[in-house]
Amino acid sequence: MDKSMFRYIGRRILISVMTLFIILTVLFVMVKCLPGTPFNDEKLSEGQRAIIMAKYGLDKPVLVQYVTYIKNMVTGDFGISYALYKDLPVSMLVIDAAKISFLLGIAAVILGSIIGIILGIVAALHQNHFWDTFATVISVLGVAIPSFVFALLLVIFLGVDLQILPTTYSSEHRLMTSIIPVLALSMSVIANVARFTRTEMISVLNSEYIELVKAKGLSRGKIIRSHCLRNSLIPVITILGPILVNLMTGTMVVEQICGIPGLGKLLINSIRANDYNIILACSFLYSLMYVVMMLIIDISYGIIDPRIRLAKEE
Amino acid sequence: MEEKELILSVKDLKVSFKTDNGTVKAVRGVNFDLHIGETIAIVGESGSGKSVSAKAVMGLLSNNATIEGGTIYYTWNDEYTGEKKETDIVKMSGEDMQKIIRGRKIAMVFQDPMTSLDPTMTIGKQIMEPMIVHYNKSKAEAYKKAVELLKLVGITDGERRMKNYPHQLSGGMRQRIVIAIALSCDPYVLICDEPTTALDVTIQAKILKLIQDIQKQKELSVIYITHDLGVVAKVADHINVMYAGKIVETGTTEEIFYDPRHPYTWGLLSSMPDMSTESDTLYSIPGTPPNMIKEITGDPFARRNPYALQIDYRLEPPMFPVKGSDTHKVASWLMHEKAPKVEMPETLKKRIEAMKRGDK
Repeated sequence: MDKSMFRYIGRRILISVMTLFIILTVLFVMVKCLPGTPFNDEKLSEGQRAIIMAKYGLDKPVLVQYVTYIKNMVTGDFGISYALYKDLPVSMLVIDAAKISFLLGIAAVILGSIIGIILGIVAALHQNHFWDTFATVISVLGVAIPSFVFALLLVIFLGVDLQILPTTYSSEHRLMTSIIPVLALSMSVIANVARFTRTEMISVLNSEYIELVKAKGLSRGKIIRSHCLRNSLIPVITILGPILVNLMTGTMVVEQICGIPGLGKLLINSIRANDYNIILACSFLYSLMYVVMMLIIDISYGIIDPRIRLAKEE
Repeated sequence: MEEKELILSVKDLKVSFKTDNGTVKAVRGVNFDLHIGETIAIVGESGSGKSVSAKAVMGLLSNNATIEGGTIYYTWNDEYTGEKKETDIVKMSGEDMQKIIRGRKIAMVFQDPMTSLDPTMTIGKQIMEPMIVHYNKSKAEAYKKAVELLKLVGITDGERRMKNYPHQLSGGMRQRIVIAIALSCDPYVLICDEPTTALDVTIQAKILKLIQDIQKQKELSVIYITHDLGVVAKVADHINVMYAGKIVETGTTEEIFYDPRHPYTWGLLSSMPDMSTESDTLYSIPGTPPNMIKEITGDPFARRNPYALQIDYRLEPPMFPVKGSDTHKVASWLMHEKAPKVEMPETLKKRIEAMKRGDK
């Protein structure tokens, strides 16, 4: 089993690396197609601009720039910022911003999936009764209303009217100031997870193997704990990764509303300023997150569900 | 033959389902008895209520089902005093049912072994689970017993198989596992709901043989639920033919096969494929079973019955005992003393003659 599992993981990793390489190439070409340069100061003359461009190696052919970029990138050097934060290493900027976004995203996914799973299970167990309807209403609202609307509502309600929570992010009071954005972001997670869990749970509850477990004479609680949960949560795990990544790429507006110096804000600012290296690094990081997430899902799915792991073996 | 002790007695059981289109009366007064060590079969088309009756005995009816009436008496010996007790399963609470009866006294083998095992749990765990729950056995004890059970159901490399997941086993193997699970708590009654329908013909015979062998070893009482008379011919002592929620003919296997009286049983027997059939088309009973949402007046089989009498359309026939037998009973007006004499179809007659010759 172990050998085939390693081979399986190895192949998945190889495919992921190739995917990332292709993404990076496309990104690089697209960034070079952007109009203008990072050095748009009106005081600069054409000659001065050319000198600066030459200093950063931006006058060389695109292919040469590309090869240099890839070479540096492999060693972990993502270049320096041209415009936004003059000459500061991009990796540092991006990592700092990503940390903030990532923590918020993770917190929202954890909170959202806990509430969502509970809501979904309760709904499935009380099919067509009050809790089921309640969960459905929450799900519809959560899917239909964008997170930034929730963020605004929470800011107005909790921050302005009741004045119990601060409205803008501050790195000194990280916990308190994160509550509003995390709540806002978790709404869509709750909605998706609850809906998905409910569907899975109902199909498991109606399955024949649950009928057999009932015939064994196990109590309802035990049936749900040892048979239903595992079987219905396996598919739920697969959607958590994409949800997290979607959440992080979708936080830009919420970050703007709550003044969070996260990845979304950095990316928007860097595009405005034509700061090539930051655009590249941010976009690449988003892709990386997505690819790594899919990889983790594939592997963990293989570990949790023996059918997938062993299908490869036979 | 000495009078055997009764273990399960179903009397006038009525079950109905609430659906969006109305109430479906799936079981409309079913009676049958099961004695210790005996094998009975309930035979009928899909929708005749045979599975519902079995589920009622297990207390496994779905939420929209209600038992409208009747009793299901289960007789058991108290483990401590040895006293004989009789309990009505219909009146038992869901919790008592789960703790005392289900899995422990009465176990069930399901139709499709491909879908009736939990795909994410090793078969070992699945076999051990009921023992641990019902008898508080330690893991080691349960493990030992599970390996023994695997051996009993004909799986020789039990130790290795314990770690397998259901998808690693073939259909026949899985059905053996399902049987092992059913036997794990040493039940007294085993209900087999179409136990071989989903299996290959070659494996069908093996599984039936297996159930028969185990039954002898463990003194089990078995109820077969099936649509296939061929399956039960070799294994059952007593057959109940069910149609539209009622038992229309009941008798020993010999009586049902050699002296069938109900036109529906004639139909079932005629539609069994066999080697001696001369014509190359297989008989099938015309029409379909009645819609059970509608109130049924008269004999529900009348419309499909070429021998139907006027009265069949107005009044439902009671159970008529067949003369000269204590066990053979038929619900058909044809059995009434004033009814015209009707003979079974000629081809079926020949067939039964052939069967009798074959047996001797």
